[in-house]
Amino acid sequence: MASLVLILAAIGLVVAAATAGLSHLARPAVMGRLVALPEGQRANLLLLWAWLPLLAGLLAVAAVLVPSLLTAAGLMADHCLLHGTHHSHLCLLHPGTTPTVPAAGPLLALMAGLLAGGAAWKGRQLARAGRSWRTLRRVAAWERGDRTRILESGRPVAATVGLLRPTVLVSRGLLERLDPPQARAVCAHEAAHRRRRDPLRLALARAGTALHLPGTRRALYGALALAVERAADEAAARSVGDRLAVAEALLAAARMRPAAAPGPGFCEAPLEARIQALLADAPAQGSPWRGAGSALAGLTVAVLALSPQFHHGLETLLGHI
Amino acid sequence: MADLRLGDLEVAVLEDLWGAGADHAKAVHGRLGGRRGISLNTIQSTLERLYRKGLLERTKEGHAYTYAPAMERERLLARLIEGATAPVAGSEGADTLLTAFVDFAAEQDEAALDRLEALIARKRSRDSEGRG
Repeated sequence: MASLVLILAAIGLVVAAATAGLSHLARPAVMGRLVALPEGQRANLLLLWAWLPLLAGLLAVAAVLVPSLLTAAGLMADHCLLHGTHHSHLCLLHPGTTPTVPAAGPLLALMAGLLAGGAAWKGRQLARAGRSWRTLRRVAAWERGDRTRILESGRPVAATVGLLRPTVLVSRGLLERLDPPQARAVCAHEAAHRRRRDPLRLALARAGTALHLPGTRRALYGALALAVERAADEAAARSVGDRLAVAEALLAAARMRPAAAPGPGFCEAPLEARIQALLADAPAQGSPWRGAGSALAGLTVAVLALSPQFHHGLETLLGHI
Repeated sequence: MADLRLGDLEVAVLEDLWGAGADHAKAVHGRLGGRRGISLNTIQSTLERLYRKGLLERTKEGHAYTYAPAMERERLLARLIEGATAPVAGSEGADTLLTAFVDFAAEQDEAALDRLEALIARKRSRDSEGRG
């Protein structure tokens, strides 16, 4: 059984790595096409792309297991007995037909250990990053009861915090230094982040992109971060009814940067891109059918991958290696 | 800046002392304990924890301590904001649970900001001419 699990894990990893490699190669072309989409849809597709290697790996494993599971459920005739044992089978029901891998047990334990260690480390990092914001939210909680909380501080703060039930934190200092339309723009922008659960999207993207190559990982995360900001900017522009007020608020907030903040100038381009986009005319609302084509293509791939023919082909291939 | 963490009860006790001024554990318990269903012991250990975190000062009066806030709300908030935004500047700004309106940590080039401001102003005046 350990051999079978190990082979399944290897299949998943190879498919995930191949998907990551393809993503890297296709990145310039795909990114070019994504830029043309409305920002909300772009953000959704980028998140899907971030998870693509993992999803492809899981799909491959599921595809291998489908005949065994269908047989166990009585929906299909037993594939490996029907087919004979002239090559090995990847079958849950007949462990004897699976090729044996030497030291499969220890190898599997090592892999599981590494995976659990990595997940725990990542989880702790995420928890630590959120800790100071959770404290801030608690101190602010006593000042205003609703979902937008005002921080009685002169420092400029406008942020949406929290994964499942995000809260908007806006400081008095920021609001007082903006004129009323700009202040409304900031609050509408953060409210859009809260409604769309953007902190969760970014955290999910962070987790998903772990399987991508470093260059693609950074590019995907950067593009998603820009897409969620653009979506919130557009929501704020619709809510305030003045695109330029949002652009002016962005600029005013950028000028408030506390002088002591360290860090290299890697974020100029997003600010420039966001302001330029707001200076352009409002984008047309996307048609609800626009995503239908890609959804259909995805479904077709899934159906093909889960067919017994795919399973048999893979077995034959592995049997001859 | 040390990583400062506060739980719900700690914040409640701080809020109470900000409102009431210096006071001893029994009085804090009198105001918070009944409402929240917690014992005097819990209030005492919470006060002790806040004292060790440097957020309360205390003086001994007879057998009991009198606790007072060591800093105003505004200063604590400033400290918390600094603590919350500092790690963002160091990392790629990613491993955090927030989306900020603009990345305050990013170094903004003044000249670039001036250029963007001029662009917005030009668009603003063109728009108002178009309407007029």
